[in-house]
Amino acid sequence: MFALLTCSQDYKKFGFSTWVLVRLLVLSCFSENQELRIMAAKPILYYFDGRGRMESVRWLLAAAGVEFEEVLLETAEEFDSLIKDGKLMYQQLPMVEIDGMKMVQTRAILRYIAGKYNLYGKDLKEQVLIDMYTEGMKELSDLFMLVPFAALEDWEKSVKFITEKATQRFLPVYEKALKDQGKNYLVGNQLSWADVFLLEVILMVEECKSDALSAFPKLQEFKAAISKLPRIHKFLQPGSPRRPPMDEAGLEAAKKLFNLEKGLLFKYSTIVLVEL
Amino acid sequence: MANKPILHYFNGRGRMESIRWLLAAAGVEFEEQFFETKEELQKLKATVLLFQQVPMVEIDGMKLVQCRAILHYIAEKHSLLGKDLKERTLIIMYSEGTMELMELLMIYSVLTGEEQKQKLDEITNKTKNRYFPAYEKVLKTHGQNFLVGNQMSLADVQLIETILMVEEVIPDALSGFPLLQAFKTRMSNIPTIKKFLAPGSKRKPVADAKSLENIRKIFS
Repeated sequence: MFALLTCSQDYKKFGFSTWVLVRLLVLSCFSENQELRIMAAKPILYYFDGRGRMESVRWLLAAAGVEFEEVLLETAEEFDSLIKDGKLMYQQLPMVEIDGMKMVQTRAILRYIAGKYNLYGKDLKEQVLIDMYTEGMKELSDLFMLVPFAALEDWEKSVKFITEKATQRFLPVYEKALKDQGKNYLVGNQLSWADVFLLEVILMVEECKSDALSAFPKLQEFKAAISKLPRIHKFLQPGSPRRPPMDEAGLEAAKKLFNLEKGLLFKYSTIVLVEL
Repeated sequence: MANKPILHYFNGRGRMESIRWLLAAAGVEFEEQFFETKEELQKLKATVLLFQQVPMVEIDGMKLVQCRAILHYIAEKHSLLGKDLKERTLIIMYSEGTMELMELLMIYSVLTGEEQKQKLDEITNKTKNRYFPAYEKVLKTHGQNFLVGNQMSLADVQLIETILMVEEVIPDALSGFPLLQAFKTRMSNIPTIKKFLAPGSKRKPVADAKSLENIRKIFS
């Protein structure tokens, strides 16, 4: 069976995870390879049923062509249960079970996936560029994440504030980077985590301001090109693990689960934005 | 590559302090250029800051911004980011936890009155019930002297930095955490770190009221 598979030109069609699973079946007939069994399991994402801090992880796994499962928490009790079981290092989410690890901290999770699936540049210099770009994107994405939690009376002000930051501080940087690169990759000669994250952020900005890219021709070109990549295209279709923007029901659920308060955005905006 | 890194920031801890710690621990000498007025910062923003933000570190022909990008670059360059992807990931997981706690301490330092008191309660609670237990457990589980891979890494440097920062506002923070106490002693005695902890190093003191006022003016 193994010989058949390796000779077969069709194994790529089955998808990487299926190929690994079948190979595993064969190998387990001959040996107890614990490591392989763990490596073959799909990652499991622990979060609530919304974007939040997990969305970037969903994007990156999708871009890497990695199928995953999700455990969606709905009550504070379920969250407490995870904590009591000692599964959350800092009693916080997101948490991803992957390759035998219970990974927490979004930055650690994203860098692991990027590193494992060759989306982190080819050397240290490309890596640091990717880090700089993605940290800027994270700042922006964190701001967008707080929008639904802005007190109602601050909502319009919040949206204006954030979209201005996007179009005046961050997007011009990526426009210039693409212009200097002369291709639709932010770093080096191939798709990286920075490109995946940038598309995610562009779409987030456009949800708040549909013409946000009007002054950025390179970003428009980039958006079109990256959206067409097969795995990304698939992720953008209905039925994918991609989550919609938060609605009223989702907001209430998140508040209950995480014990959050209103007015988070302006409570933390001075800290978030002051370059202390 | 023989040029010393140049750190661009104000003369205070802020978000640059972790970078000073890491360079010092790695035995890397560096220079600093402090801006002292709003105008000086504006000039930097208009010219060399990628996202118009500091910290910025000139190193190896690059003008690096964003703390984590800078820290990971320095760590990787000086073999302080583990020997493989898994170790690296653990190091970053631990580092991110310390940075969360240090962030709370930074916020605390700019608050006043009742708000500051509430923040201190939050920090005390999280230190004793969330962060310190997590690191104590890591050390207990493998019984080694360093957090990851039996050698010093970014995570260890950030943890000692954080412990000392916490102790400045919660003197008995380490009570109940014997392994962290031993860790603190060991780390403090590592020659490069010992040198950084001695007077005359580039380590910055806690900001006093006057410095805070000046910082507010620069960033206003």
